[in-house]
Amino acid sequence: MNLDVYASARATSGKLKLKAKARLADGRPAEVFDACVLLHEAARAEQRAIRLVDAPQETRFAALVEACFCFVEGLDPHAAGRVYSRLYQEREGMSDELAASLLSRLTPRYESLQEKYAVAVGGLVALGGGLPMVTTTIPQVQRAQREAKRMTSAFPGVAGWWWVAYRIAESRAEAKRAWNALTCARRLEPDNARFEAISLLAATKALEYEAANEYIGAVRARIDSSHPELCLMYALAELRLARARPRNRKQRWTRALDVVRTGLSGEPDSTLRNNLRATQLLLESYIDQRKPSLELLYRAGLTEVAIGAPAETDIQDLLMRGIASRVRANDDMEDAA
Amino acid sequence: MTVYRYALEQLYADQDFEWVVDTIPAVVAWVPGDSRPKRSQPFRFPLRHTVGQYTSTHQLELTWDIGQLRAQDPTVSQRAKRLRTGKTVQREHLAELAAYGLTLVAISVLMPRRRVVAMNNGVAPDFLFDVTPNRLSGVEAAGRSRGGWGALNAVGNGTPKKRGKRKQLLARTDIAEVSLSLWCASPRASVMEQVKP
Repeated sequence: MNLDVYASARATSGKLKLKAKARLADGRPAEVFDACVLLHEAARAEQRAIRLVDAPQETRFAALVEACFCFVEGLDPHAAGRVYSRLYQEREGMSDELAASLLSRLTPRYESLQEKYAVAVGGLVALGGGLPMVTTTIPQVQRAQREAKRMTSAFPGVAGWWWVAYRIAESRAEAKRAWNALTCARRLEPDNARFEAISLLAATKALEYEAANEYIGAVRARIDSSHPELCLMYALAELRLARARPRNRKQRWTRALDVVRTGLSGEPDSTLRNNLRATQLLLESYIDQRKPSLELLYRAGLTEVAIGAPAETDIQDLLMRGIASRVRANDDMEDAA
Repeated sequence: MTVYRYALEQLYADQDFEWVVDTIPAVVAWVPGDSRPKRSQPFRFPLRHTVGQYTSTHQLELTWDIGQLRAQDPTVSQRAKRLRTGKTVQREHLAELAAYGLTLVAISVLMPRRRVVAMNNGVAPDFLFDVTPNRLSGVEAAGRSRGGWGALNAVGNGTPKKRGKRKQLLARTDIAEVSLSLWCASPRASVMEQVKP
């Protein structure tokens, strides 16, 4: 058992919690959000500490209580609920008295948070089913946006609601607002591969060219075949930047093609494979100086995207819209959170 | 009775910066209280100290030099003011944060050379000296804004509806050594009690 590493991981978590408390006490929305981010990080550190050692049951249980408490204080009923469920599994075989002592501080706070959350979710109309699967009228979308704002204000620790806010803003072509919401989701869940993947494309819409270039450049070094969605979004981001500044476009296309091939060498699901394949064909036609046609969409299996499109349509735009609509169709809170 | 005089800025030397810096504004905001006569230094806390079967009563005289505190944390006055005026949505954390700061003071005064290495939130004890699994060692802290000794006794002993902290700590088989540090702002009162071993 490496106690030094364990102690260091626990100390990290403790310091984060103390910083978070001071920010919560400050009370301004930005400070409260920072506190939520710190508490999420503390919860992860707590769980990491326990993985570092072959800990006895009481220690594992206590670390989970700590992690759950961090999520409760970090205003994230979803993550808190997931850890709370694990507590039921971990307590088997423990004495009732010990378990009660360990849970005495957590349970009232947990139940109070879940109660508040249930009331808030019960008050949703436009977002009552989770997400606006199909956006219809403008007033409906506006209402959904207001509801998302209400949820992110009351429960700023739920990454899923920031994701909802991002999707709505994105559907309204509000690039800056979408970027800000997605950034909040990413700060809460920095390891969420989908948030990171989508952020590449969002960066090219919301940021200045140089900043977007720097942003996607920072991700490039970490790309491997185990994250095909990241590969796809990286390639799309390069395509957008190549169109914005045509001077280095061949270099960008070649880089994007390499990344797409990396993505295809992993194990993408069928939808992702079709999207990657279409992007590959598009990039190859650009590099070979051939005008891309609808044929590449059929060849990649993206028949639904191709059907109904005019013959002279811009294939790059069509492909990007097709991919974006698929992301939207696959949205749900659990995926995001 | 021993009088312990302690300058709050000394806490930066006695404990790690990260543990101290976020508690100081709360101590500065919470300890002086609302009424004018209570707002002058030194701030005197009657302190009931229990080790094993022996209980003694002392006095803690707390002072601070805001200039020296500002040298460590330039935002301390501003943060203390916000906490004092209570215009925050999370003001219930004030007593808790201040109790953390005062507990660090009590540790530095009554347990010289012991330094906090980690902190709990969801389970007791709040401050840890030793994180060895199943042999935890630390101090549990709590603060009450009013109620004096009665309020602190209720925290330690419990009420008909709620189990006291002492019993909760004794039930924990994973803790080898723990003390209870309780603080009340009005009237001022404090307890430092060794619960285990």
